[in-house]
Amino acid sequence: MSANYWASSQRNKWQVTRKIIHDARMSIEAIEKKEFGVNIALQECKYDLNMRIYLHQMIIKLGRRLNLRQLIMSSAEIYMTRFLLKASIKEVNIYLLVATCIYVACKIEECPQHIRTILSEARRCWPEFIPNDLTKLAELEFYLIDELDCYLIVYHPYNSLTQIVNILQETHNTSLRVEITPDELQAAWSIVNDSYILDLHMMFPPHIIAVAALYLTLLLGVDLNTVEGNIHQANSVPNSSHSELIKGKSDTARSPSAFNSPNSKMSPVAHMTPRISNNIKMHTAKRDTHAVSELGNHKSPPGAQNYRYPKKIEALINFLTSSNINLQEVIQSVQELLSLYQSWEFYDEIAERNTVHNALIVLNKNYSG
Amino acid sequence: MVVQPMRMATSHFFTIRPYRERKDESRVSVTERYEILGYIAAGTYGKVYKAKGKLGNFKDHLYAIKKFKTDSKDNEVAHYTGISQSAIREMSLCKELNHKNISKLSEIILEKKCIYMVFEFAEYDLLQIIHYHSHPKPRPIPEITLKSAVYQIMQGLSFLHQNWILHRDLKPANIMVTSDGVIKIGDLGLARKFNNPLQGLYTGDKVVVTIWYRAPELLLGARDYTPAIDTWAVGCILAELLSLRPLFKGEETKIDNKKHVPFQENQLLKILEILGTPTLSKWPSLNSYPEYPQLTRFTLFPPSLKAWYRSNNGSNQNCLRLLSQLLEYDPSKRISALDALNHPWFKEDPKPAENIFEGSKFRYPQRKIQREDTDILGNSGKQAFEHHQHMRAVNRMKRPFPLGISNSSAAYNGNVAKRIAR
Repeated sequence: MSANYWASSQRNKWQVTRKIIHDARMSIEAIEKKEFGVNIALQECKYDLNMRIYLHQMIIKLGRRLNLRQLIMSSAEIYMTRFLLKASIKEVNIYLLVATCIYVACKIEECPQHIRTILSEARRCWPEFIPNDLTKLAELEFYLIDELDCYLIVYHPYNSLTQIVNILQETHNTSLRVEITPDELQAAWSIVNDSYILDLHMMFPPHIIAVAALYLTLLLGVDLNTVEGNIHQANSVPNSSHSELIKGKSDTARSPSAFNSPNSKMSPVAHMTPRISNNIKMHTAKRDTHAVSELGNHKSPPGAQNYRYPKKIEALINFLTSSNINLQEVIQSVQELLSLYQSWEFYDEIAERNTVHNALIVLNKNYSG
Repeated sequence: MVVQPMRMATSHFFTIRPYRERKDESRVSVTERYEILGYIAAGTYGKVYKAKGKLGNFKDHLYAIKKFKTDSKDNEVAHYTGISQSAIREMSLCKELNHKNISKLSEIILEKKCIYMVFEFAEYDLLQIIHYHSHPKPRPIPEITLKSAVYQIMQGLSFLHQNWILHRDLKPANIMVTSDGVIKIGDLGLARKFNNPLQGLYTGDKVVVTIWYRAPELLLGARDYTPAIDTWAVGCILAELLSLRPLFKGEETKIDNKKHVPFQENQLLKILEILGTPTLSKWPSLNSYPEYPQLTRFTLFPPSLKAWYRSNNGSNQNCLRLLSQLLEYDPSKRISALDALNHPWFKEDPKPAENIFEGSKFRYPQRKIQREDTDILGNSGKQAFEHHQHMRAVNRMKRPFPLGISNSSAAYNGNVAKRIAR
């Protein structure tokens, strides 16, 4: 129920397995084949990771224009991901879908925005593709809610993240105690934001994703500080990696124009120093053998000799192994996040946009109104 | 290959046609699934019908189907305007809630621009039961019925509060009773979550709770109120079950200017007359409420709840104690729903029963339905509307208007607010 994820519809109605997700996507492909046959412009438009990064950016783009809190955008993205488990991106105008998910999320999070406001901001974002007719948005709202079976209350990892950080800081057992800096918390928070691109929120409880984001933050931070510490010695600012990561992200937050600039990939990776980026590559490459699997093996933390802050990861792993948290799920989440950031490096926003626009133009010829 | 799009999309630009066609193919209409037996009641939200299931597991079960009013200006063609905040709250909350003392949602049907919420049918409500006992001459409600009803309301309410939900419109008409004598709290159209709100409670809805059941802190303009507003309303309901009359039957000051919420002087007066004038020593935060200066308008009243209780033939001291704890002025001292469940009154004999009618000689008439009106799809809209106006007048004589009509529909629905503002 409302205060309790375990009794919620998110847990009991909308938590699915990888197999269910796979099967659902297969049946959507079958629908696509039947409905659209062979059309090159439509065939290019696929619901893959690149497309999902693009849709994620569009939610953020409209959300920022409306000055919305992150939580609302995250709810909107859950609605969209659930909807697209049952419908094809070629069956609907996906820009209108973005606007509609945000419209509903605003109401559910008790920050209602007038439908006119949402529509006019969406039209400012995508003038060529959003019809000037609010009944169209309202119609999609109706179908969206129906497809979600009216299950609209959703749970996010943000509360769990703050709770876990507090527990780690306050525990009396010193071997479990971890001091998480505000920068680290912010970095983990950003990773949670990015996690909505993936299917994680349909498969795992929020706290799993919170732990994964925190673990990933410490993992990347440790390595960077080690390298920097060796180079800059005492000059290095603690956690500069994260401040840079945050700086990169908040810069884009401050200037919405950055989102529209053709060169902006908006990926956290793109804004990180090459070194972090390398770290991600490194981890992705050896993720099965190194730190990630460390979690699963329940053995002592990574050899302390190379790390400047090994205690944090060590303590986090101790905390996790002494808790009832499902480590397999944490590992899967960490791995998926790592591969997300890796793919993000090759993400080409212009290409995605062209794909979407070409598809919408073809669809408009055949299915307008 | 990049095709250049038009500069601005026309209103006919592609939206969801392929998807819509696929979905509409497989729809089963509400009238194919339910036999509509008649029309029960109407409110600001829309209309409620009594229905019988036709298919599968639903077959022969009784339901109350709440059809939300479509908010279209003209009566002829309904069009999509966006689902109201009130409807979306009730839908999303009811989908999560599962408790024996909360109205049970069976399903929600979205069809042809209309929303139908299908609830398990409840034969009675407390308003109907109070009316039966007060007409033609007063016959007190048996203690076991009364006590069991309040106990079950508290069970439902403490469940809501533990799940961080405020009901915000408790009153006898919203407390259903099944034919097995089980209380079902209904109408969650004003309910909302209150944990970590992104936006304050007051910002969302300026006016909550039907006037007679509205807590003093709300009348004094509280911005951040608590679950205590709901327990106050239960206090009012308990008193009404005892005396068969509303305890604080104030006259509502209507909103004339939409921007300004009026001070409900008469309602506060009714409370003062029975509970006495509140003092800073008993309610320390009293002077922090926006309408505090208004209190100087009133003459001083002594507390007289005990006298009220005796004059209504009340004799049980524990019942009086619970009543005064529910009608405690200071919301921070008012008894919580959870604590109320452990109140001595519920521990002494007769203990609350699962069936509130247990051992009662009273047999209540079934809920009245209008068998002529079974047109749930609303094809003959105008006729049904006139009929409903008539029934309103008959059924709800002298009761305060449901919240939406009197003053706060603007808060529910931006569309209405915009239209009024123009």
